[in-house]
Amino acid sequence: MNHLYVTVIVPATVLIPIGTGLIKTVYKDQPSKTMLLYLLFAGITDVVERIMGLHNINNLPLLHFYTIAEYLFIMRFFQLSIYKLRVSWIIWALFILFPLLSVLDFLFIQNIYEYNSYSRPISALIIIGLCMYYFLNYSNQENKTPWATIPVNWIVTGLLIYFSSSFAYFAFLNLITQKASDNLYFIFGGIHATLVLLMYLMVTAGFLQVKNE
Amino acid sequence: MNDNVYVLLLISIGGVFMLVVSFVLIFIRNQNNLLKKQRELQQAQLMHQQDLLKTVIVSQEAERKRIGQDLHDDVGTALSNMRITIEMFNNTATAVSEFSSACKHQIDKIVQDVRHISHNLSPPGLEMYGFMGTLEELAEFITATGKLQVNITDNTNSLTDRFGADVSLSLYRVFEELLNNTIKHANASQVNINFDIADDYLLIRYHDNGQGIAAAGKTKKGMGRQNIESRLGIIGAAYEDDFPGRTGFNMSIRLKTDNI
Repeated sequence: MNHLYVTVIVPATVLIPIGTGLIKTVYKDQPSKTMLLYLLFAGITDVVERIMGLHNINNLPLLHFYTIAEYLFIMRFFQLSIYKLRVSWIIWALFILFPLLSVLDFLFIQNIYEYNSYSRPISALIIIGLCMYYFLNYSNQENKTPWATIPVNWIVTGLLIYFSSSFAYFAFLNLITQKASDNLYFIFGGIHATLVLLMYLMVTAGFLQVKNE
Repeated sequence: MNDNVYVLLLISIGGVFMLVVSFVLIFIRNQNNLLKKQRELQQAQLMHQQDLLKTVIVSQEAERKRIGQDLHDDVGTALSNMRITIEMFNNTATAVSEFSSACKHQIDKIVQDVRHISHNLSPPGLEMYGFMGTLEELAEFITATGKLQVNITDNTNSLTDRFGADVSLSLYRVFEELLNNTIKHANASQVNINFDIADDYLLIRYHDNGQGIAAAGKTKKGMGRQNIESRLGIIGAAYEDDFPGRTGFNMSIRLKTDNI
């Protein structure tokens, strides 16, 4: 049951925010469009991963590339959501540095057929930093509408909860795979899947607030 | 060391999750409180603006009524008297002299009444003698009645003579209102008005040695006070009239010299 929950049910829930986004035509709003594309990409990657897994092909190299693509999507989302970041050189530096680091990691440091337990937590750290920067920036603005009516607030909250809670899991993933029992492995997998589900629900809540006037 | 690394990992995930969720919830609560306070402030400002507007309208109506009464009671009555005098004119040599004298007297009275009304509408001294000259004239007039001694000190190096028409009229009306309040409510014997320059501001201090606002039972803003606030607001001046511990009534007005 847990296996089904982790490998089928939760990955399938990506259809909830995607469906909501398409119905609400959120692609007219630039940050939401980037998030929608990210979810589509995540959904497709999950399907490919599953197919590879079913054919007993090691799908971990896909994770290395997925991490880079996920990072780029989320960075673009923040660049479009935080006005100050649109022209900042820091965001462009981050755009280039992390993918470079990630490629160096799987070429020279970690095996591409193992979990990327160095680069994935680093990507999570940068994303957590940007989430906090978003909240800091938000608190400095004079906001005229309630917090819950702003779509980006929900999406950033979802990202913050997911990446900060999964941070330790990302870092210890190789250790868990190699040393922990199957039971423990699935417990951690279940927790991670629940966090993914929570992020998808938060993104859905954000998409529901998008107004295309 | 018997610690289970997986249990520690589980605790870490749970701890971070709770920390982040708590942070977000506190942040949302804080933002919503801030928004609520902003809205309350906007509402209060709107109410205040409405009060000021109401005061302006009420004052205008009161002024119109007063002008109407003055015209009716003084000018109207004098013209009626003149009409009666003309109707009763008897064309004899002695009557012509009396008639001429009566007419001249009534015409003089009408001229005086009209002048009085027009002076009330717009003090002519402001154009002729400037703000300070007109205010000194008002002070002398009040002092001459013996009810109140009004002292004016100008340390602005003639800045007060360079006031624009709107600043002059607004400040003159404010002092008329303040002096009127002092005479009516303060039970004071002396008023000091000081004009100074502090940095880029003209600082005007009004002080009477009366019983103060609290003792006069005027803690709520009456129409006169709202008129003062409205007139000062028009010329961009800030004021303060609550100085705990000081005797009598005090008001401090600050006006940027650039606005003069």
